[in-house]
Amino acid sequence: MAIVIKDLNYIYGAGTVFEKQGLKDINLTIEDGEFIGIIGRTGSGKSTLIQHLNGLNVPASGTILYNGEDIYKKGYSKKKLRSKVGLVFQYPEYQLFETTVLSDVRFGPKNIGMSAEEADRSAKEALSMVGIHEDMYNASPFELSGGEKRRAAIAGVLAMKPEVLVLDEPTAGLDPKGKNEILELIDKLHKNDGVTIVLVSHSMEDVAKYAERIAVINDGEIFACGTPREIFSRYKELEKIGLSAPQTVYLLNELKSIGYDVDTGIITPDEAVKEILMHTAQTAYTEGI
Amino acid sequence: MLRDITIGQYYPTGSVIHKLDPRVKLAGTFLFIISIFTFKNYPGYIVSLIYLGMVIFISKVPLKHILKGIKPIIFLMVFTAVIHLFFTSGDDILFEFYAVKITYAGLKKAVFIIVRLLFLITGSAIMTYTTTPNQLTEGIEKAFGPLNKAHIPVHEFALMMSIALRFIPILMEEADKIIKAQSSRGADFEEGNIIKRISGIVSILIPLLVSAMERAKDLALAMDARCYHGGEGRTKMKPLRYTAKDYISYGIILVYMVTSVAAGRFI
Amino acid sequence: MIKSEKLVYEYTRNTDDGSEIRSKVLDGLDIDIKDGQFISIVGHNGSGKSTLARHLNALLTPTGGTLWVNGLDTSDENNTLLIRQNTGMVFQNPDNQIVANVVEEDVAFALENTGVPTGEIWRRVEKSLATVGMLKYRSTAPNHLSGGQKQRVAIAGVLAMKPKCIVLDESTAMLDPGGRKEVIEAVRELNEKENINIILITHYMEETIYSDRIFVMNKGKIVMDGMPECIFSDVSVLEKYNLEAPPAVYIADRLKKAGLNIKKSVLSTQDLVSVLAEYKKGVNNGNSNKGS
Repeated sequence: MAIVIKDLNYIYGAGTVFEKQGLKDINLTIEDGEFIGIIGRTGSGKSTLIQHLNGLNVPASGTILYNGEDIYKKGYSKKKLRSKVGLVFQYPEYQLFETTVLSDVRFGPKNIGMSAEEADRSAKEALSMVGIHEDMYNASPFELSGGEKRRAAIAGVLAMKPEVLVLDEPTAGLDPKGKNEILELIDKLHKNDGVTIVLVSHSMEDVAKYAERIAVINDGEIFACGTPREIFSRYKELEKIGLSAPQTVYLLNELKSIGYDVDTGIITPDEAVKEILMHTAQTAYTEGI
Repeated sequence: MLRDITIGQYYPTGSVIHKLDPRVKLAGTFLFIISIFTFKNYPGYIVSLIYLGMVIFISKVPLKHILKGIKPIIFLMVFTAVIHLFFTSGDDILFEFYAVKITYAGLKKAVFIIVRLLFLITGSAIMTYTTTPNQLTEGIEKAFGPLNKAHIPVHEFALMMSIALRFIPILMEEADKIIKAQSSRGADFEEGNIIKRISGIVSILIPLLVSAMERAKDLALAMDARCYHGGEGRTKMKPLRYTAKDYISYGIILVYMVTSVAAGRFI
Repeated sequence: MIKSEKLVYEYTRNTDDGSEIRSKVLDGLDIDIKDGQFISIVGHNGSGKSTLARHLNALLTPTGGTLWVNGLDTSDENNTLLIRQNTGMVFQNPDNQIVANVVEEDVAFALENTGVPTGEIWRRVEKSLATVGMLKYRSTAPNHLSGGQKQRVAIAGVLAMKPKCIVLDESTAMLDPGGRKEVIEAVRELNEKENINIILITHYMEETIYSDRIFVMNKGKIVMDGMPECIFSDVSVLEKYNLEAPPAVYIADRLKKAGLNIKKSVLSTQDLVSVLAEYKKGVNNGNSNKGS
């Protein structure tokens, strides 16, 4: 039970004329070691929600428990929390600022009180994890390519050795190669290092491929929560709130409607290929005799 | 906190004042400010107050909103007034207590200072409440247009101002995001020793600067692509043209100047 | 009409140790694009596609070879303004290309720059905003619009110049799926109804399936040039250039490789469904033939 969000309400611009309810009665539990996807339209409140997970936003009511402890309780160390719950913002390359890649990645570890050697070791580990070669350690972060900048920025959070990694649209604006590198990295962190992953994404295909559970946010409320199969089987409801399902789901549902007895719960292309092959082969075989 | 400052933010009511040519409002505000600095005595301020009240009434901007805007500046006003109160010398002593001496001249000066500042701020605030930043820029561009002949790039300055205004909310949002991102990396802005705090601030300023530069580069390219080549040969979608109400307003401003200065200096 | 001969763009960079590095971003391109075509240009980052886009309205000029836009040589500075009116450009970041604080004033920006009379500005701004479906937001501040809406305003700003061609340089990259759809639908309509040349530069392969032609770029060269059916006929070639086929194309390709006899080209989910529907019918028919 890593993170428990309890009856969380958030109000934008509280106390001003622009006051607006941002999040409404959010209840969500993120288990240790799970990979949860958060989907929702732009402005649905998903970024606002994840900015609560490390205490950046303060709710109007409700609270969040991290490992059973209330993070909004007086005296609870936000700094410690932020080293445990790493938050990677959208377009994180815009937070690079140091003179070298290595010193930028060391910024986080040093802030949370690691010794110089420890910070150094941790930074180097993180950089090698994201696939940034030693030759580039002393380069200016502004000289890197777009994809490399993104990975260096992610390394800046990884170097704090978080137990939970929260990522807000980590692949936005990247080309397919850059995108896959990041997604593979996240998957590896989850599978090999047991890091809990919270992934906010616009891409239904990506969430379908990697997440074990999906929470759908709409107008500041949790619209649905469940396994990708459960969520995407409700694709018609998703469309009503301006979202969609992966193309595979549409394909299999269409095939079902024209008489193929396929499993419509399948969500990834590779599984769909297998399923279609099975049914086309079967039809050919039984009908052919 | 920056969002709490309401002074200077456009307040649409669709009043006649809102529809005036920005040049009229610029001239009016400028002359109003000059007038209050010429007054030597109370009657001038009374004339000013009557006109100011009228303008506020016609503009339909609620008095409460205007007063709320003044609130952040009250401290400054009181501070200046107190200084004048205690440090103005004179013979006509009202109150004396050891080294503290309050004179009649000091009291008068303190009151004047408060009234002047109050009028000055309210007067300019009325202009910004009733004029969008864009109209203001256009007004300035047109009003100072003749300076072009003296090779002062008025159009370029005006465009810079209007672009700056467009990007202020974007950069504010960005600053907010960067602060949050660096806080997520354990950056200190309020606690910790001075070195850590400075490094925290640097970690915000540099990304903000880099991003602003990048946006500027993008914008320059986009302007090039849309045939921007300076002010020469440019036409306007909304050229400024005076109408009857603008001429009438100029008349009213003139009458105000004469009556208030006469009242403030000679009564 | 856009035509180039051996178009080269090369730049030199000085390294810290004083030596020069020369890199060819565009390497001898021969292009011939006819009026009214919808062209997509794809390729991974650094393949040269954005550099090519910037040549099309003379933001960059060739360092070798020649590029003509509507018969005008882009290297000739006297042509620059005319070329930029003919070929409009929409960029990636929606926030960084809007100049004015009010939507309609932004759409008017290019017209003001080119000295169009006030009355004509109002007519063209109104028409352009209506064409992209943004007329009701004419007095709104751009900061209050969604990403997709901002890009449509940018398109309207270009459209007001009455261009023959619109280049979209990764204009959908920063948008969410809804915003991407808005923009693609707007430009498809411009292509079909107004016969405007569209040159769409994108990472999202599913956006390219409506185009007349696709250019695949790699290392400054056009390595593939053809109709979508042809470009998507072999997914493994695309993968070689670090590109990703849309899911339906990918699935069809895998089915084909597993021995399913798919002859028709598949670009969309709908295509794949109809192919499999026919397959089923074929099997059933074959069956009933045997039975009779």
